[in-house]
Amino acid sequence: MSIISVAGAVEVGLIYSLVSLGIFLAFQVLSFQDLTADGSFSLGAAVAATMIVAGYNPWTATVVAVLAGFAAGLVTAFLSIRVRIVNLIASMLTLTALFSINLRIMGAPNVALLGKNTIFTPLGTTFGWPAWLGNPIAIFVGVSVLTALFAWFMKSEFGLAMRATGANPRMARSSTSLHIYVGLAIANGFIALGGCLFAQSNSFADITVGVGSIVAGLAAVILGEALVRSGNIVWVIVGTVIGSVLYRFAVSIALESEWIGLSAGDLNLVTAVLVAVAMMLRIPRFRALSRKLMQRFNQKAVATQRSGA
Amino acid sequence: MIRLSNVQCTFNRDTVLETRALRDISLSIAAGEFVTVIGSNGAGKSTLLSVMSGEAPVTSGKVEIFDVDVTKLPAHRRASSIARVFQDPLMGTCAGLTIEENMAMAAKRGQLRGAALASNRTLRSLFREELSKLGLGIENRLGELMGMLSGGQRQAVSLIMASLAKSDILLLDEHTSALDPGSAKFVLELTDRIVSEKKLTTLMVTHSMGLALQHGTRTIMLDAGKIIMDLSGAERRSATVEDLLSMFTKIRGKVIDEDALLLA
Repeated sequence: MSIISVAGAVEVGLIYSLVSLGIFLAFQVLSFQDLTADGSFSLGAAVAATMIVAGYNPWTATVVAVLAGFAAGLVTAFLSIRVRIVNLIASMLTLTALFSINLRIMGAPNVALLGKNTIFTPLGTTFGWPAWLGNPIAIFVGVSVLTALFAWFMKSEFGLAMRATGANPRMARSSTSLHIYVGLAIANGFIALGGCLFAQSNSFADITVGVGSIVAGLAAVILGEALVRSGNIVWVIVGTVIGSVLYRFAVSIALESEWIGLSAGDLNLVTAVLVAVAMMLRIPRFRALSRKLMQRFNQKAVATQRSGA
Repeated sequence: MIRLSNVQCTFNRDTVLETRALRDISLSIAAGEFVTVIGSNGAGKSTLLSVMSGEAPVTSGKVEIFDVDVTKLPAHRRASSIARVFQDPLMGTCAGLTIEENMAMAAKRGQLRGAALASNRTLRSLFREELSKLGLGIENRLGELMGMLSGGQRQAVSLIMASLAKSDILLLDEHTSALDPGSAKFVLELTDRIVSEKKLTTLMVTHSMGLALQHGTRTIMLDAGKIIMDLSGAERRSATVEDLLSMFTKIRGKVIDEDALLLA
């Protein structure tokens, strides 16, 4: 891998770490199976791209994109709490609606940002950094700050009550619906920010750009959990971010190695299979099976070595 | 302190599954009373507590706490005055949060929760001090997940948690029945200690008539959603398990067929 493709993988991994933080908040903290994510990622990208093309300040566009993500989360929370629709269906309704809304916002299936000013432009004009280096550094700083704030929030009185809401609502005995509203708004705000940064660093927004965000986010969360194995929420959050970056590395290695023969279009299939396998390994029976397979494989390897010697 | 007036609680109303869990219950509990609640399965003991804590809807009637009508208030709005410990040790605590976080949750029960860190050095030393009263060494395990503790330990911690934030009422729903005899005895002694230390008005549901008489200052017996016996003072002090059984048979005109009530 060249240094540029390494930097690229880090950049995409960091952008998607915002998605995985959102997924972590909804799925793990609130135990809310929120499918809004695929839609709110596109929403963030669509809002930012459209506004930038229309001549707005890229920072304004970024803030509005995050607010749009908040709104998407609030709609899902409303459908679940007030209309009492099952989590999955409630978020699917928002997701479906967002497809049309995103098309309306962009006015076309895709919007190009080539040559427009983005929040990354000053890195090149002021510091003279090339985009392949400047973008990941800037995103790293931004993501670090957001991760620290998020970790603080999860350890705050309100955040703790939110975690208890997800883990054991009867014990939490606090206003659980408020926690779900706030939690889903923040989760989708994070995801929309991810979409918005993705659009600005890749200079385009597309209606399908969000497809697969949920599963990619889940993959990062699972990878992060496997990495840190800690009860401390701060480490779990940091692990989620690292998991996202590592996951992107794995993906870009897989896509670059020609002998595997994967194209970029296979990405979603690979992610889905990886997540399914990771979920499978949580079941003891499958874990035992995989251990047995590994043993047999090792024995065989030893046997071939011996016969070779 | 707690007054129920003609409280009815019916689940699945107007369906074939209609259950009248409480039928016209009127009960007045004075501050500082420790009431033990007995009765067979389905008598309405847990529903009685849930009606007080706001977790079961009242079909008709009135629930007052401190002379304030709380009938329509949701559970979290009553949490500032009511602490509750459940039968299932898994219910009252969060397995996925650390012991410290569980304690921090409990310390803010019923209060507004802001952006300040939920736990800090002062709180941690308070948690250590409170947990050390258990003598189980849990005070040195604050960073561990709650799920690492055994059922008895979790129930003991639940009790400490229930007493962390200031409250007036303690509701105990068969909180020792899922524990082995040793742990149950330990948790009961702890209960008595906390109740008298914090001067809590307490309702304790139990399946054991013996325990119902040994603990507390007043005993009520529920059957089919009604209070069929209410003992306190001298009458209660002289009562024995056999007395309760024969009273029950006399009032209900039937023989108790449940082993759980007899064995205790």
